[in-house]
Amino acid sequence: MREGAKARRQKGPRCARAFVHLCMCAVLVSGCVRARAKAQPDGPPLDVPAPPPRVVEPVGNEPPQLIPLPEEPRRTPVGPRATAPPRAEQPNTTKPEAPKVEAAPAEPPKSVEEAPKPAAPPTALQTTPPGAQAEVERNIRATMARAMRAYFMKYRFTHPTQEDFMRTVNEVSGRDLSWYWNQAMFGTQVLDYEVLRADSNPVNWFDDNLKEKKGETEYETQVILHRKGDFVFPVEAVVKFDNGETTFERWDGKERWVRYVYRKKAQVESVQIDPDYRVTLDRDYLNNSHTTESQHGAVHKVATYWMFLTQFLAQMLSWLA
Amino acid sequence: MADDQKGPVAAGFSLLWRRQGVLWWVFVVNLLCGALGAGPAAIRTAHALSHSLAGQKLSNGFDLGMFFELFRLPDIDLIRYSTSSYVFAFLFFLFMLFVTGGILETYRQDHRLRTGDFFAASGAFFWRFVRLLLLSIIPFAIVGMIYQGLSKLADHIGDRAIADQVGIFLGWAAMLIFLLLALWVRLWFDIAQVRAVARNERGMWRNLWKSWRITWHDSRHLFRIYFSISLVAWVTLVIGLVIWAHLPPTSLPLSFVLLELIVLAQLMTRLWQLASATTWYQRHAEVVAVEAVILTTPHPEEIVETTPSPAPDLPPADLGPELPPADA
Repeated sequence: MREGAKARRQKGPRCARAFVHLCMCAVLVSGCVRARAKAQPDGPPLDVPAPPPRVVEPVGNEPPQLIPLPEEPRRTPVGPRATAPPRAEQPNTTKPEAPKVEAAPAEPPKSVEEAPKPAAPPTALQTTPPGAQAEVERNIRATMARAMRAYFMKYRFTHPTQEDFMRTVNEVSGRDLSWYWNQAMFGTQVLDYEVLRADSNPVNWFDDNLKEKKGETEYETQVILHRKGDFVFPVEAVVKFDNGETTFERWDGKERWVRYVYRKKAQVESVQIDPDYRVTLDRDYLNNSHTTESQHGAVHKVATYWMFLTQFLAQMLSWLA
Repeated sequence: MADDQKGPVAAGFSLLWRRQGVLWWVFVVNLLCGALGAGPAAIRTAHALSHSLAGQKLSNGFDLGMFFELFRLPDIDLIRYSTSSYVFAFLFFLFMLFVTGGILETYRQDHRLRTGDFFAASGAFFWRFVRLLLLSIIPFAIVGMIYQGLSKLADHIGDRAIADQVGIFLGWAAMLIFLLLALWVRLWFDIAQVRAVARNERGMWRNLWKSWRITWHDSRHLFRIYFSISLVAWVTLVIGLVIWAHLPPTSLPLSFVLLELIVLAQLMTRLWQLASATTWYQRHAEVVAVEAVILTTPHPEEIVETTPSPAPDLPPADLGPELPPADA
């Protein structure tokens, strides 16, 4: 009985409190509904002259004027294009030096929400052997400077959009770079390439009397390059053998991975993707290369410095003891 | 003793040199803590770089960009492995807190303690030094607050000054004042530790008050001792780092030896400060008999086993009437 009376006594104030809260909420909500930015000025409109007509040269319909890029020098030795259609591995008896290429099947089409795939990636890189790097670098810089100048001259005193910029660069460079813009500007793809595997095994590994001799034993070398991210970008790779031979490979990166097979009287020493560090969008440079021999120098150095810092920190901390 | 003719700094160094075993033990423990703290990071780095040409940028030089890649990349994320370094640094801190009693006792008695005696002294003073450490938080916090105030003042003046570098110089001055104040607080608590060991003091509040009076009374002399030794520490650190910076990047063994020498020099100067404080206290502060405090473990008393000898022929005691058998 007493509890019932107590509950009744508490019920009254609780209802009143709820009513007060309800009223406050109603007032706040009505205030929010009425609240509006005061966009219209109270005074009379300013007497501003009409803006001059925007003069924009139409550029969409005319074909871009192609600017010849420097001729790419021939490389030696030249492996098969990584963009060649996938083919089965064949016994390489006539030309043992030429590597075989096996590419992964193309990826299934992406969903609509994802950024559009590149329209047509170029089949060849704008790369040159190390001797002509400076020339290429100079040409790229010159092209970019021309593009920036053209962009400025065309759109000065106007309000260009990023499409205007991209169109200008396409025009000046003479290339359709929409495959790049789609990924780098509008997409969220990550660019990351890695050397998945690089090893050499004797061709006649089944021979019980096999005695490996440097320069005499024939090896089959397999190199697998892997595109970890979704960003498709053409890359080049350098394969070094222990007889000093170096092979440049180009891969358009369209497939998820590609395998190069070599038959040489030498073992692979190292493989490196993007040896000139030109693909600055690559997320992880550390997996861009692979060496068959362990590289302990860097590990020992990092460990030594880390240990010193730990010791120093411990010594500084013990100063408080 | 020949050291009586020397000043406290030189006598402290002589004491440190005579008892250099302590220094080597501390250094070995520090080295172990460093190695164990760096282990996980080294393993992770080996996993990432042992078959990568990117490591050549670190081994044939020291490319900071590549080094920071090791921290940035989520697959490696060396920052995560710095936890072990902190843990082992803290363990070394605890170790030093523990053995400080033994070290001061060694310096006070100036003879090589047996291992058991050393650790007995360490254990005897451990909790007292923990209490001192907790009490030291108060003055160190005050010094920290003073530094905060000074740096804010330096910023305030620097913002209003016409010359650009006024704020920087004032900031350095604030840092210098902070270091000197911190050194003074350290000196005060070192004297407290020395006094606690010398007098076997148990009340740390009382000990701290007495040490304050001693330190304040002869502040100029004591501070000069500590400042000169600290100067040696800073100079050796700077010289060592300059030499290290000029070493060829591929000479890793030499670099390792040099860095360890730097750490050894830092530890040595810290123990030198303790030895000098002990020497100074024994000479100038309070006369305490060396034998006053007995912390050594007592030697086990010799137990003489008595060999059973034939009972002497004594007249039979009167045991009363013989009891009848139970089953009777």
